[in-house]
Amino acid sequence: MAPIISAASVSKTFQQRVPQPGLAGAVRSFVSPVTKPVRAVEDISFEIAAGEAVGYLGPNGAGKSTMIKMLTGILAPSAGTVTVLGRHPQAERVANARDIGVVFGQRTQLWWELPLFESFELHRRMYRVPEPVFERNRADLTEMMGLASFLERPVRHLSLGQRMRAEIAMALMHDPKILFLDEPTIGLDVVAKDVVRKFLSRMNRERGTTIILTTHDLQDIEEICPRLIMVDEGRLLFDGAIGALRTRFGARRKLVLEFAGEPGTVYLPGTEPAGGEGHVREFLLSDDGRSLVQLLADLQTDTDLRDVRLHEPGIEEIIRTHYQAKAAA
Amino acid sequence: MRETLSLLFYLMRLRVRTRLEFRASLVIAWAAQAFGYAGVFTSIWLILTRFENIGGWTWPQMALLLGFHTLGYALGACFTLVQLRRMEEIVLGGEFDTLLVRPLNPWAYLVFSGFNIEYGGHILLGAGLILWALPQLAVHWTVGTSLLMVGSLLSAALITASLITIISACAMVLGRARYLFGIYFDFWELSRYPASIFAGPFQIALLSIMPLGYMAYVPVSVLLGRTVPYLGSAAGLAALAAGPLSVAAAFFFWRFCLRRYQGGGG
Amino acid sequence: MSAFLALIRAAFQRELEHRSRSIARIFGTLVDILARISIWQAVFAGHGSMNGITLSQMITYALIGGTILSSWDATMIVREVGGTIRTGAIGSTLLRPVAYPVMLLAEQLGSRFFDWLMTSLPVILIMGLIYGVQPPASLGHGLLFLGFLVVSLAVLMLSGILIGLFSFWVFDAHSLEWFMRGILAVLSGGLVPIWFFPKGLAEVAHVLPFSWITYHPMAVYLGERDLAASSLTLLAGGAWVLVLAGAVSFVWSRACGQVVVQGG
Repeated sequence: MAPIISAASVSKTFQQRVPQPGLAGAVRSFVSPVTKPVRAVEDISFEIAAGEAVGYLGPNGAGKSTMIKMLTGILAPSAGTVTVLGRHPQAERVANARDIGVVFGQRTQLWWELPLFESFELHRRMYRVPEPVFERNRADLTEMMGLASFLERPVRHLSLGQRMRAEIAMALMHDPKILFLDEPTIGLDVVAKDVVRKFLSRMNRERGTTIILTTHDLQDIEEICPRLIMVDEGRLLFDGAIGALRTRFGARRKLVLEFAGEPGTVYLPGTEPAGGEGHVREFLLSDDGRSLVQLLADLQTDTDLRDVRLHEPGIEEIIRTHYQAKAAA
Repeated sequence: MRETLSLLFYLMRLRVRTRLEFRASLVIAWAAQAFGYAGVFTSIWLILTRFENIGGWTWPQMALLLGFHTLGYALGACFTLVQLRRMEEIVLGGEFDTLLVRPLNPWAYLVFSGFNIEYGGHILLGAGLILWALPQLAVHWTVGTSLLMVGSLLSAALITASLITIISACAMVLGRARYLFGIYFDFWELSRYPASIFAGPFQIALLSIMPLGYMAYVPVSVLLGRTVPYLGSAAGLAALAAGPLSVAAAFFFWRFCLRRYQGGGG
Repeated sequence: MSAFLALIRAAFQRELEHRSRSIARIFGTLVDILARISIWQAVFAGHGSMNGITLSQMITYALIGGTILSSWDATMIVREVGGTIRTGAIGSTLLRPVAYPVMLLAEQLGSRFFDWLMTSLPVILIMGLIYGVQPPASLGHGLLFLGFLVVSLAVLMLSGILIGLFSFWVFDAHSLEWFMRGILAVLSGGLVPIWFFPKGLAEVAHVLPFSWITYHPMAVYLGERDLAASSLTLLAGGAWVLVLAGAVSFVWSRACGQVVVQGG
C-alpha cells in the first residue's frame, strides 16, 4: 500500500538567535540577526501506511516535536521532503489541516470560558463538517469518551483527564485520516491514561485512523502502537516492532524475586542471573514468549517466595543501554 | 469565502458572549476607561481656558482632534490590541502552534476570536467629542468632506490595527514584542496633539515611519481648512491612503515574520 | 526596618536586570517630556507670561514634574495589588512576617528609586542641556523641596495601595486603575499646574492630597510661595500622609478579615 506519510532524508536546522543585550541590540539583531545553527532533526527517513499506529519516541530534545511540527505544517524542513496525504504540509497548510487531527498534551485547543459543546460547534464550523456527519461523530465520541456528564460545563472547570478526553474527541470530529498526538497522556492519572490508550487503540482498529503519537511513556506505545520509531539527538535510532526494540538494544526485562530466607544460589532456566543479595535475586529475561507463570514453575529452590516484581526497562534505560553498548564497541 | 466570513463572524459572537457574562464589570470598565481619558482631555482643556489656543488650535478644534483620535484608535484596537499585545506569550507558550494546525489563517483567528467590546467607553467619548465639536466649527460640508471624514476615521482604525499587527509580528521572530508596544504608545500619545507644535524630525516621523499623524491630525486639519506642513494639498488624499498603505505594509511584514517563524514552546 | 531596606534593594536589583526595558523607558520619558515642552512652547508663543509664570518656569515644571514627581507609577501599584488579589497570592502574603502593604511599599520604593536614577536623572540631564532647567528658587526652597519629595512619594504610594485594596470589594483592578489615572491626570497637577485652573476647581484641587504629588512640590521649587507658607503646606501634606496611612491600615485590616473568610 502506498504510504500516506513519508519523510525522505528530512533535516531541520534552527537558526538559534544569539540574544543581543539591550534594546539597541534587540533592534540591531532584528535587522541582521546573530545566529548559530542548531540541528534538531538530521537526515530522517520513514514511511507510514494508512491504518498504522506509530509511536514516535525519544528523550527530551530529541527532535520529536520538531518532526510532528513538520508533519502538521507548522514548520518546513530545511532539507529533504515530508509528504502527508500527497501534500507538502507547510506549503498546503490549510488543506493539510482539514485532513488531519492534532492534539497537544500540554496546550488546550478548547474555548476556555465556554461550555464544552460550544468548542465542538466551533470545530464543526472551522472544519466545515457536514451536519449529519458531525451529529453522528459527536454522539459516538461523546459516548466512547464518556463526555456526556460535562458537555455543558465550561472548559475551565474540567479536570485535566476530562479535558484531554474532550481534546481527543474534538480532534476526531471531522473524521481526520491521520491523528497526531503530542504527549497525550502527560500529567494524567492512571485511570485517565488507561481510558485514553484504550480509546486510541480502538479508533485505530475500528475506524482505521492512522495514529502518530509522541511520548515519554513506553506503556502508551505498548498499548496503542505496534510500531515504534525512536530518535535521539535528531537521528533515527530504531524503526520497527516494539518487541524487536528490546532485543535490538539488548535491554531486557528484569525479574526480581524476594525470598522468605536466604535462598543460596538460585537457578532459573531460560534467564540470566543478574545479581542480588540477601533475600533478593535478580534475573534478566529473554523475550522467548514464555509467560511469567511458566518461568516461575521452573524455579529450583526450597526457599519460599515472598514477592515477585517485574522491572520494565524505561525508554531512557534502553537508550542508555544502547549508548553503553556503543561506547563499549 | 462566504463560509470563512461566517466562521469569523461566529468567532466574534463567541467572544462577545463570553464577555457579556459579566455585564456589570463591562459597563464599569467602559466608564473607567472613558474617565481615564477624560482626565487627560480635561488637562488639555484647562490649558486652553487660559491660553486660548495650542499652536493655533482652539478648544472646539482640539476637541474634534481628540475625539477623532480616540474613536479611530478604538475602532482599530477593538480588533487587535488585547489579543496581539499577548503575542509574546502566544508564541513562547506554544499557543501559536495550535493555531497553525487549524484550517484557518492564524491572524484572522486571533483578530476575530479576540474581538474586544471593552472599547465602548472610548467610542462614546470619541463620538461624543466629535458631535459636540462639529456644530461649533465652520466645516464646509460637501460630499467630499463627508467622505473624507468617514474615510479617514476608517483609515485611522486601519493604521491602528496595522501598527499593532506589525509590532506583534516581531514576536514571531524576536520572541518578544512587549517593549515595542511601549514605544508605540509613547508616539501614540504624541499624536493626539497638533503635530505642528513639535520639532521637525518628530513631525516627519509622525507622517512617515510612525504614521500616527494620519490618525487625527492630518484629516482634522483638512476638515478645518488648515494647511499641513510637508503635505500641502495632498493632505486629504494622504489621510485616506495612509490606512490602506499601512495595511499592505502589515500584511507583508506579518508574512515575512511568519516565514521566519521557528516554532515556540519547545 | 532592615527587612524593609532589603526589600527595597531586591526590587532595585530586579530592575537592573532588565536593561532593554530601562532604555525603552528613558526613550518613552524623553518623548513624553518633549511633548509637554512643545505644548508649553506653543501656548506661550502668544504670551510673555501667564499668571506671572514664564515659559522657562514651565519647562522646569514639565521636566521635574514629569519625571521625579510623575504619578505614572501609581497606577502600576493598583494593577499589582489587583493581580495579587485576583490570583489569590494575597493569601500567602498573610504568612509573611511583614504586612503586605508595607512589603508593597518597600518594593515600589525600590523600583521608584531605580526609576529616579536610571530614567529621571538622564532625562533631566539631556533635556536640561537642550532646553535649560532652573535651579530651586533659594537654598531654603531647595531644602523644603526635599521634604516635599518624601511627602509626594508617600501620598502617591499610599493612595495607590488604598485604591488597589478596594478591589477586594468592588470591580476589578483594571477599572480602578483607569479611574485613578483620570483623577491623578487632573488633580495632581501633573500636566497642568493648579495655578492655571479656574478658581473653583483650583480651590478643590488645592486641598485634596493628590496636589502634593506634583503641584505643591513644584510650586515650592519654583519659589511661587515664601518659605513660611511653604512650610505650612509641607505640614499639611504630612497630615495627609498620616490620614492616608491610617486609611490603608484600616482598609487592610478589614481586607485581612475578608481573606480569612474567603479562605484566601
